[in-house]
Amino acid sequence: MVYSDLIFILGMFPIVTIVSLFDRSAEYKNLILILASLLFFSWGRPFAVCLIFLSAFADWIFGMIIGKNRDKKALCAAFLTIDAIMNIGLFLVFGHNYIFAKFDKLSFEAAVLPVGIGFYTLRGFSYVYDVYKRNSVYEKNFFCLFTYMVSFHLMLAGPMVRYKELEPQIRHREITGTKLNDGLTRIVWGFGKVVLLAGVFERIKLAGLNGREITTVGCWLGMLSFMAQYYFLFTGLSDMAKGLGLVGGFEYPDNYENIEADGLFIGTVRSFNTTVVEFFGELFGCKKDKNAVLNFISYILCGCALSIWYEAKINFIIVGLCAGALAGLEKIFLSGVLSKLPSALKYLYILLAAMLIFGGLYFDSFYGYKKWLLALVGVNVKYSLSVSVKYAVLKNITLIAVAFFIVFSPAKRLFTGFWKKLSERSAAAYGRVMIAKTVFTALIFMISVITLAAEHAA
Amino acid sequence: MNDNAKQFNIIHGEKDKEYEIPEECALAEKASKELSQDNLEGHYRFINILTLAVIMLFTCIFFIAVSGSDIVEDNNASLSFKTFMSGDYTQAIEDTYNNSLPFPEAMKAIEERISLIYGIGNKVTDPIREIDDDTDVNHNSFDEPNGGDENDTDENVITTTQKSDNGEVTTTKKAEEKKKTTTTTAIDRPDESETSSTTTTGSTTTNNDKPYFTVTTTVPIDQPGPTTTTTTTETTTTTTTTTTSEPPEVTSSSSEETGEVE
Repeated sequence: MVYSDLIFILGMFPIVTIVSLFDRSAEYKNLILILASLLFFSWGRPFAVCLIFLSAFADWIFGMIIGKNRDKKALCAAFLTIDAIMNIGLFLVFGHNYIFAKFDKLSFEAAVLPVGIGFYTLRGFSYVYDVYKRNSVYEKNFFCLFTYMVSFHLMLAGPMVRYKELEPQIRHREITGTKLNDGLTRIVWGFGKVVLLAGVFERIKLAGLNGREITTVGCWLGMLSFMAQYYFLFTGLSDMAKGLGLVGGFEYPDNYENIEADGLFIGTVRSFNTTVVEFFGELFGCKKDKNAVLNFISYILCGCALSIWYEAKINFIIVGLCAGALAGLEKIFLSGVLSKLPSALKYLYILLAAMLIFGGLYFDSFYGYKKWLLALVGVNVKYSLSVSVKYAVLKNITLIAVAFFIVFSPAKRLFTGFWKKLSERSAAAYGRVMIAKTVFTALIFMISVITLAAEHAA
Repeated sequence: MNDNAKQFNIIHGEKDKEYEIPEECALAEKASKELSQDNLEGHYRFINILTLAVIMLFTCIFFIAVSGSDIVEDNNASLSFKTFMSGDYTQAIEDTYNNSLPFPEAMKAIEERISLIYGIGNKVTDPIREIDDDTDVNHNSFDEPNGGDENDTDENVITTTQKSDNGEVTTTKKAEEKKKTTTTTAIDRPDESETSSTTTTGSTTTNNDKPYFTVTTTVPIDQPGPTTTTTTTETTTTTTTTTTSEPPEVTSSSSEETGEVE
């Protein structure tokens, strides 16, 4: 089950929300959250998947041992290592099971594999790591830690929120009108991003890169759409996760950022899955001011680890190394040079760097990547634009324009600034803007539901 | 502390605290405006929550109530410890839910009409979700060709397929005769990816793209029998090849090549 399934958005979510409103105590809400999470992950999959959650018990024990034996550094380091091995093992076996295809005992059917194991194992390790680093005290109450570990809010698209940040909210939280309002709105907007926008870019990507005709514009638009598809899929799920949290009384940090010209390539990398990038950056010491060479190596290692976290494939690793190298270079000297450029050129640099580096994620071989690179400049292609790409763009031009306003920060600021200015004129104007927002949000919800229902009907 | 502030605290039973009540000053106006703004925001926040909650709950109930099928009977998955643990029961619920959504045809029709606002060129009978004939989800033009695999297609290679009398089909790739790869501007060819023409001799030339016009070369058959007439029409980008007679004993073959004129 994922957040954008009809049975979740129109079944599980309303029921869980209503049931959790029956009692104001945090303990009751935690219990409902745990039960709902177990149902969420066992849905359509063997219930044995939930046994993976037993590793949360191991994390809790390791955290407690480390917390109680802070003076014995060797012991603490040993238990941190054991915890890291356990979580990496779980992650590889259940998250990247395809690498065990040759081993019968470790190769499972796709139906058995849980969703969100990457975020789950990362949270488990981050808790023990924080206790080891004395950033957080060890948790005595297992159910508080268990709520943090298994919460379905955090499983599909993060954020990778640390236990010390969430612990006060697990013990005490309130569901206010503001949270409900923001949460519902966020869920609907995220739902729309996943169903409407990600779908559009998938169709353009298919026309541009999977068509039988390779064209220059198709290669450009296809790759941009490939990145946009995953951007909207992830940010949509991330919005929904944040919305689910708000409706449940939690306040999570955002897991994506606007792509800004001043952020350069590092900012672009950080804009996607921000909390995970920050965690890996901290783990590999990317933030520390140290020797330039060591810093550069840290960035490369961080990029490599991040790429493996996404997918343990050779093209992902190469992309991770390249992204880490460019980020390292920016950190050392390149940002000083590039920061003097005008914003338009910075955006151009970001676009080209992101396309050339992250474009590698699409191709399984260097042959395909090279063919695509040549096609970008018109080598070995017959036409500049194919009919299928042209129609895929024209048929969705309105949604593409909406997507542009969401992604391109200056346009977004212009748009939101206009509405803000309009609403500040008078109380009546404010009311009209708010009503328009409500109507628009409701329309997005209805259109998304109808689109999904029509897909099922087809 | 002035008298007004004292009076306020006395009324509220907080004699010891020194709340300053700004009176008839800019601060008072500012506080009043902020309070008014808070009330206004709260008002519209309430409307937003109410609207979204009602729509969500209505849709939720509508989707469950109108479908109204029996989960157990439809999927033969009754609730038991075994089916629940194996995931079969929950999967069956989801399948039933998705398969019994209310008014599926109406949903499709509404979705098609909504798609009209997505862009230019959408038609009610042409749902946007329909993948173009030219697009194959499983096909990747950038995949590396396997060595010696004849099934690999190079979209620039002209392929000639010949069918002999005994029904054998021979496909020949003319790698050296690749189409020109000059970049052109956007083209609009309504019928993409067609297999073009056959002649009396069973010779078929397959190309990935419909050309602007077809050049047909007919090899004269050195024996009495069929008379071949070739007509090339440039404006309609079609080629008509007519054979007036078709004796079964014809053994020679003619090939037809398609090419693109820039």
